[in-house]
Amino acid sequence: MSRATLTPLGDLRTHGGRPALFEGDRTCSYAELADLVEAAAASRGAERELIFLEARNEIASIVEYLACLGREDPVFLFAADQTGLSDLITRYAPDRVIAWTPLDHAVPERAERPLAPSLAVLLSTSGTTGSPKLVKLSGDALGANAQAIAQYLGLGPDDRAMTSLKYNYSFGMSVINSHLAVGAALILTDESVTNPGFWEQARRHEATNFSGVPYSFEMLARQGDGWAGLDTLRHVAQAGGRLEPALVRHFAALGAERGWRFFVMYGQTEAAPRMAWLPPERAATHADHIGRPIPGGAFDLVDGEGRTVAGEGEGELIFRGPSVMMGYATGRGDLALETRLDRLATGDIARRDADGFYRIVGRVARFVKPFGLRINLDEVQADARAMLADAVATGDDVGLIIVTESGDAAARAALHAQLCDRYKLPPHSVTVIALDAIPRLSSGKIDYRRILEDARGAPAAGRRSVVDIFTSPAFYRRAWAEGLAILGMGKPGWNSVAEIFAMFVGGYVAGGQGSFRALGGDSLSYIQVALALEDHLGHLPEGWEGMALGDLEQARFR
Amino acid sequence: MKHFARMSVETETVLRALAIAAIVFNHAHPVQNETGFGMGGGLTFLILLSGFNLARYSFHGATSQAFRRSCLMLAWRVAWPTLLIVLLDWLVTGHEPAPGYLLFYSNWFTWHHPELLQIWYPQVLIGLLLLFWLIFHIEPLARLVHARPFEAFLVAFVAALAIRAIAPEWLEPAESRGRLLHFYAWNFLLGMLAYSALHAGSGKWPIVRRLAVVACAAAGALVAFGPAKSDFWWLCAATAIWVTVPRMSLPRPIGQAVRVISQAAFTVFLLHLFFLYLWRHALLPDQPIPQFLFALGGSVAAWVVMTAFSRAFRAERSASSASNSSSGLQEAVA
Repeated sequence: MSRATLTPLGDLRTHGGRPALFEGDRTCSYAELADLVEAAAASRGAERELIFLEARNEIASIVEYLACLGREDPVFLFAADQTGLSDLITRYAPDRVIAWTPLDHAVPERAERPLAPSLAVLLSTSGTTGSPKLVKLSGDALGANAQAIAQYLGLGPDDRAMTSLKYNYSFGMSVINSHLAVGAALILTDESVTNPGFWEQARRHEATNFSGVPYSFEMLARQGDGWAGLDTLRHVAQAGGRLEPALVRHFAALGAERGWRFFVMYGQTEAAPRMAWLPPERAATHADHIGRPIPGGAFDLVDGEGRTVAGEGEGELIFRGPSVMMGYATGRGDLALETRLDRLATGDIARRDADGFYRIVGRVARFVKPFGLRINLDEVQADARAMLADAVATGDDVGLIIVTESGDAAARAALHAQLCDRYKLPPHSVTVIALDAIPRLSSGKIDYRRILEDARGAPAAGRRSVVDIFTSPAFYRRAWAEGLAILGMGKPGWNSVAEIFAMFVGGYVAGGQGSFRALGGDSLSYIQVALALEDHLGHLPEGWEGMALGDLEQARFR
Repeated sequence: MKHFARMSVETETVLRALAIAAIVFNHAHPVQNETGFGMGGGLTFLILLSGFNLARYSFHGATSQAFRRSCLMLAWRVAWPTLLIVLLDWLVTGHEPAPGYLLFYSNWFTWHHPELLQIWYPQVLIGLLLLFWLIFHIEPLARLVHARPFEAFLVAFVAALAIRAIAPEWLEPAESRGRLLHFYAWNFLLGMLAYSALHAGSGKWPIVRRLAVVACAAAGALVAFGPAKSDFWWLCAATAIWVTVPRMSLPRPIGQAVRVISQAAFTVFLLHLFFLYLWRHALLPDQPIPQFLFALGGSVAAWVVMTAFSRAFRAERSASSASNSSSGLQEAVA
């Protein structure tokens, strides 16, 4: 038995010739996978290494990931469009960067700095926003969480899961971990769930399990239930944010009709990631709940005074369990610290019902999740203050609001551009407002709530009227610039694929998952979209009409 | 001689631009020699593209419900600008629109059309979309088409072509002059068949698939028009180029012009007769090339202006979403 095949998820060789991975026409058994992992592990040095690995739903990438786990090489999982990757490489000085997308920066000299013995995986909390803060997870935490998920989902060796999410996201990683931990198979694809090719693969490889984020389910609900007739489907699981209760009930009912179980789950990257699950039979009656703690985990509620709330009540949700992270890192030095945490303050305010089920009712910390990206408003504020010293940041799941008393229009426009770029948000979701006076509470503290309410209040009234727009010189200047761009005499001003879709397709664009087709694009609008994409991406990817918005954005880097 | 930098443009974009330009030229100065060989035919390729793109963007991978919704939405998006042109015609020429123009059925009874619009084409298109909407309510049939699109579209294409062959004898109401749904269904279905042949399934035998599409186009054009008509050659040649040459390298100014004309195609179709009307009523010389350039340039310019203002309006509207909400507001940037 080779050390490299013995991962926190178990020994790969114990599952022998069972299928482990499907990629297109290729099937990779556990035995073959173990051989590949051994070969990958053998190609590295004798010492533990810090690896930066591009997470792709492909056999080669999974092999490298498992080799990291088997060799106990701490691995940071990143996406091809990881913002600030260059900065992360400088800060963390990885010993090896494994990527399939060409990198535009050099890997620094190998650092002779120790790595905590238990450290296994590093994840960004926000997916792609480029924050240097990473979550440290131990191998034990990964293994415990994978086993807990497998237990409550009832996973077994006969299961086959679609990889609908990239595994640099903790949710995507947990799908891979939990299935490999029980000898189940993964059907590897980077296609969007809105792409028929995704479901064609599911049928071809007889998928039994599918997991998605709220936006996946919103799009599937819009597309009708054709996909749900996949005969082999057994488990459908949702996490990655709150799904509207009406949709929870819809999918629970659909599952009951079609013979699969619908699980609502709750987690955070800091808990590796799963913390709670809602039994399918409770989905109809507890559609707005996160459920109960995963096996091996527990919840406490703590009130504003730090006292534990017993029985029914509300408080900050504290998770206890073996999958809690080892803390955060902001640089290579932090990777040497062997910290063991046994509780995680989630930052969410939850209510515990009499029957022991939990429901999220608010947030303690200043996090928002526009377009599915978890963004720390304090970080946004710090970024904004680097350009305008008095800037204040707030926001919601629709977008960011920045208010300032200083700076001229050019400075605010520059700040706006900087934030859109850094946080990968389309321009319309970031608003920079100049105020005479930033609202404050009587205590002198900033009144974030009022800023947000003022900015978001009465949305229809908040918009400029048609007359205002048509009498504004800026409107005509913009129209002139657009005209020149259309004629090829000006620079096309596209900042993102989301902006292109919002302009031409007009539908709801969020979460990086909608495709032209799924958003209702048609044969009258396609040519403008195709040409705009060609201008923005530099080429038009094959099958672009079925590609998710996020995948199209990534195509810019290829 | 100045050499321009070159740019790569999708062949579909180029052919689309050429097709709409050919339509404008044909209407600017119809040319027909004694054999009946005129300048028409661009529309046959645009109808093929309409079918192809309906299959590509709305049918492929969609549920029956979603496809029905797409058909209705698309019909509406064709209908309302058509109605605007009918009203423009009323305003400009003073001819009160017939109910058949407003309700999209006039082509069943007369070949006459508003002076500013060849209304039969939007009527045929809307009719076909509504027909799809109806057919896809028949669930077993819809499931069959989704399960085996290539076979289903092949059968539909052959049936529609057979109808086209017998239509002049049996299925042509007096005065309609063949501008009817069942005369053009084969052309639209040819596009849908082309999509399923070229892009669905395993993708094996690509050359055979392409040849088959060209053969189907030639067969359709032969039955519908015969080799003496320019429509036949337009459809055959354009299809052959389209399936064999994915992109073309053009001098940048030409490439840019092609991109703009191609994007403006539907607007050009709707507006070019208006610009020809302006030319003729200003008593300018009856010369085909200047008329053609004026009609094409005018309708493309109208599209550019409308599109620029529409984009600017959307951008300004989204940029201002929070601008009036705070009493101390000075300026917002979004």
